Amino acid sequence: MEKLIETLSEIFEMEPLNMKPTDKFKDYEEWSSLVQLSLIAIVNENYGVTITKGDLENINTIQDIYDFINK
Amino acid sequence: MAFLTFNNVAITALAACVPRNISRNSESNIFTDESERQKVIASIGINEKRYVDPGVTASDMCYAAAERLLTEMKVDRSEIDALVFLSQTSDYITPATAPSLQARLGLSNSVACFDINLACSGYVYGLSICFAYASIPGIRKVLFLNGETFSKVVSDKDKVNFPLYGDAGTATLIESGQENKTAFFDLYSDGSGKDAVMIKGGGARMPSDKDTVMLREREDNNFRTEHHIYMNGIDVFNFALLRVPQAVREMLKKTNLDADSVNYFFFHQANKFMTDFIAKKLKIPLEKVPYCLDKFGNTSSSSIPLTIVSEGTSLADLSNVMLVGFGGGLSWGTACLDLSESYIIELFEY
Repeated sequence: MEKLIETLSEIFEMEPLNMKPTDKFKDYEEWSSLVQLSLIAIVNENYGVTITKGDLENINTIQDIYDFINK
Repeated sequence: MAFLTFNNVAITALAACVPRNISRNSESNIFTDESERQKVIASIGINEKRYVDPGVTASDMCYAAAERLLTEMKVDRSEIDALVFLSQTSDYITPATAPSLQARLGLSNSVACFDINLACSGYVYGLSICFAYASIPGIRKVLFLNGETFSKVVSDKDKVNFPLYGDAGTATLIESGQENKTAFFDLYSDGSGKDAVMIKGGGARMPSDKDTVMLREREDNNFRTEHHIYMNGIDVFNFALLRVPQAVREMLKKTNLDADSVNYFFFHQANKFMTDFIAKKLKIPLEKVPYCLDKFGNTSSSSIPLTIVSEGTSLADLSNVMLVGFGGGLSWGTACLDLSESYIIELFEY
């Protein structure tokens, strides 16, 4: 989880310390359609997992991303 | 399996033009604030793009590119035996646009003329058809006209699509009798993803009526009618991420090449974020990936020939290049060919 938060902190331009697994990342100030693509790209690159548009509708928290990657 | 090999056929000349009118993303009022604008421009890598005057179509620009090519190359027009026009922004729903170009260019009535409708994979697909025609005994020269005017189908209240698309017209001359030239094409489709990029209205499935022309709010505060281009960015991105590197590797395998021996990779100019990511995934150094999207945006099917014309003359060795088209359909394909003796006519403004 720490590694995931570290990775996500880059695309959301936030301090990892200010990010928690329960955070709804779509509420972060930086969330945008471009950040969506960065999220998909980074998850694809680092974890070899593809998040579709449909998947993303059910992924709301950082914990959800973690669970999706480790499914 | 659509893997095609052609011997002794090659592109002998290319020409392209872009409209004079410049639309700068740095001046566009589509973004809500300056920071969003900067981020979008940095990510998509498109500073500006060109758009046609009202009344000007893709076929007009293709006509200009073809005139320039035929004149500069001193082509005997009676030797052109086929003319292919490829666009998603044709003049009319019917008839096809290619015959009108035959007449405008003063070509004979014995020219085979037809249109092809494909999205961003179109240049690779269309070229494969022109190579096939040129391989048939009796066909001397094939003229491939490929242009787009997405400025006519993009909503200026759509933050996803508006910053991306630009207009262009191109002409490519294909001839047989080119000794020691071999070209390979590898073509793919996945129609299960047809909804990812589409203009839904105005065809037979959703004829235009008073409802389809209504500007409506869609996802993320974007406004479109059913006659505007729609793109599901995430699904297209995932498609390209999966399929494009696969297709490039497959072409290298089938032609017994490694990525090092390919001089340049002309990718469809989708957006810089996507093509950089694909190049990185394939471990292709960025200096082998020519770009013109910073100046001309994503010109859909015509982005590959536009990049060859706009950037090709400054590149060292075009003897072994790969063309990589991918997009709506879903449809994608690669071509490996020798452009070292293809005459590139200087890009001009329409």
